[in-house]
Amino acid sequence: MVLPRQTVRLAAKKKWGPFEARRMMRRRVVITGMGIVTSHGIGVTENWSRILSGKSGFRPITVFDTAGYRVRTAGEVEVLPVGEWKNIRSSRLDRASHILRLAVEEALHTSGWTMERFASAAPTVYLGTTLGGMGSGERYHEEYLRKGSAHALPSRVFDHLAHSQGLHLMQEFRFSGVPRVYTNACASGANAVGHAFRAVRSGRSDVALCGGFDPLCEFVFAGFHSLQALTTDVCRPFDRDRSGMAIGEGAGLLVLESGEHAQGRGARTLGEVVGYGESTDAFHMTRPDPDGKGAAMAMRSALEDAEVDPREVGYINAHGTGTVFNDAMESAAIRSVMGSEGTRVPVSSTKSMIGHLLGGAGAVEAILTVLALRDRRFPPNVNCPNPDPSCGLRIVTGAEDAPSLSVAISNSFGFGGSNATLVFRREGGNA
Amino acid sequence: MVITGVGCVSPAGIGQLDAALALSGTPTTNSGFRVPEFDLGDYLRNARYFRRIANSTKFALAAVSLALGDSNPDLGGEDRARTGVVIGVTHGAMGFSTLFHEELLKDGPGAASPMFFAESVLNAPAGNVAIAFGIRGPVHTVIGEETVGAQALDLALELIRSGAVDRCVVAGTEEWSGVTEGVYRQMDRVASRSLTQEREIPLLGEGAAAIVVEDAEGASRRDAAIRIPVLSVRCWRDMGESMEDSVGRIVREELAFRGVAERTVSHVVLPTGRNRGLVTRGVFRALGPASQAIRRLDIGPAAGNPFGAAALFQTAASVAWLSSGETADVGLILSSGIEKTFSIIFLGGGAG
Repeated sequence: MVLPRQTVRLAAKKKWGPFEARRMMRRRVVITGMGIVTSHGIGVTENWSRILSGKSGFRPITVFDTAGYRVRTAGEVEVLPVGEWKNIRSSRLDRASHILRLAVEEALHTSGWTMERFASAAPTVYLGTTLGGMGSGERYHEEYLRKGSAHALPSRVFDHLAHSQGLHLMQEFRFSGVPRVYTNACASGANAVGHAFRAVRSGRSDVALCGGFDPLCEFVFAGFHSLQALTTDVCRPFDRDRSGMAIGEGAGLLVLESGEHAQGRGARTLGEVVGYGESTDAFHMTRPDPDGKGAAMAMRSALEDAEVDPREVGYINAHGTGTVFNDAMESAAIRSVMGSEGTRVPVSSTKSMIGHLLGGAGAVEAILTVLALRDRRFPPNVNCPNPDPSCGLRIVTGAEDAPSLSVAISNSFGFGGSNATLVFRREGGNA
Repeated sequence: MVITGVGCVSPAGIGQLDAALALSGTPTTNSGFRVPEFDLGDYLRNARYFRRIANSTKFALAAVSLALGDSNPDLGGEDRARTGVVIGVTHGAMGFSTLFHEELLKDGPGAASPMFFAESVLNAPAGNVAIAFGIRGPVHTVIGEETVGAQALDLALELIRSGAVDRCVVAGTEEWSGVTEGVYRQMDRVASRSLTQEREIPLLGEGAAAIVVEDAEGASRRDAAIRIPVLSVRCWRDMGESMEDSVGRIVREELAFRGVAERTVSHVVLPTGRNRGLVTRGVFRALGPASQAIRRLDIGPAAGNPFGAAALFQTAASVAWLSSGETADVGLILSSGIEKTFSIIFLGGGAG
């Protein structure tokens, strides 16, 4: 087995032998908790069942007035319980904080931690979001323009800042420390999970709470609308007739622990994170590099990091936004990295059912990938009756059994040319 | 880890170490703490490509260009993928965000400009830096209070230590906006005048500062001028202990762990944000009798409170101060925010 290039470089620098290098860099990182909020509902079980059945989570938007928009539907969370906040006044919180909290509570519940014990474990908290509580910023600015600054509620501005939700979370659950909040557009959630994975693997932390979130708000919706990136049809990733993306909202949170730590407390493991890679296109602020070189670089780096041969990859949860440019670019990247397997490896984009969750996408899709490995089932890429031959991929158009699935990857790409790939192994698979 | 390049775009001046030194010097006469108008073309060869950008991006591009010019790393071929960028922000491109939203409210979705939206995305400065300098390694934006620059530096150190990159450009950027200043004024979270005391909170400032951080061995191999070593970075918020106590405990722990005597601390750069008095008191109490001889540097009178850019401005000022001396002293850079987060960057202690 070949050590990743970056491990070899570090080992040479530190004068480590290969065994020491492996031991130092290779703590096993397991997933012990997961929580999801999407338009399919609150909770992993409900989401997974609806995803496997191929149901659509799109509905008419209610969080803002859609008059004047060509598109009036999104993957909006239908019922969002506000919950009981003990240490913060909940009435002042943005929708983003409530979404985040629900996913955190489920992740910690499934991992078997109580809030108090988790807080005392000094977890690393890494989150990803695109614009945090922008809805509160909109409301402040609207009041500011209509009534003047003296009549606008300034606390809304603090709730809109994209680090506030993380701070609220820490305050509510009495976690000490400062959450690190990545805001790398649509790759943010995957970046948070990837960096938490590295923190646990390297021994900087035994436990991490990580993931991403983004609520539905008019500012972001109008932004993608102005870029003409939203489809007026259904979202059809990798289909010949795809015409754009559909916005969703939600959060995905994972609890990562070192294998030893999880075993020590008798935790149930749901899967394993084995690799992470990232890169940048350095091409254009809002368009991906059509050659897919940056995306391919992230995928290669993740597989190298995981010490996984591309032929071992049994499923790819694609970024698959449904835009002409993204899907063509991602297909080129997958074919380039997977070589002869590129046209055979099963690929699906779950955005076809729940929409693009922006900062939440990478983490939610990471969880769906772990569930695919756990149940050995490929989630479908719906609305793709005519897979685009120029993409040249094997698209999973309906849920399928995957009896031998043991390694899968999840791709996330974002504005600014951010590319991130996570590699997962089925719990009990070959280490 | 060492710093090999510094670039500053601040109300006190635009440049490298000279501009960084000015941050802790004479108070800026421009009481609004605004960056003077400048032509990006003076700092960036491909500036024409970046004509329609927010000020936060413009400041970041110029500061990074200056820092890279100071450090002079090879950014060709494979080195592009071995270089990373981490940028810290607090408010982002508020000017373009409010313009986009204003257009949306006044004239409807059809009138809102996609250009304003693209620049409103918080990682626009980082994405544009990657494009301008062809950087293809990890490029990240982190968001937070005034401590976010320290968080950005911490992430950059992790990326280098993990072997993911050989060097990282770390920057903080912030632009002034009437809406933001109005909010802080309304909440009484800025001083009504240029500050004179530690307990006063400076007015909203703007600008960007950037540093180039790399492994000391790598820097020596390429004969880079090493400005100063980075000892460590700590960011914290304690839910149990008082802020003053926890900042003091962390300073004592960190100095003891690094084997640094209190008397070698030559200066402390004061925070620019809320709770600056508490944090400063905690640190000086922890430094004990040695604190009498320690110089206090304050960028507030020259740069205001530049939020996302604060910790990098402070770091640049500390680097300039340490570089101007002949001893291998240690500088502590303190940041604090409204939500009681604080950070301490420990710089110096040899090889400077």
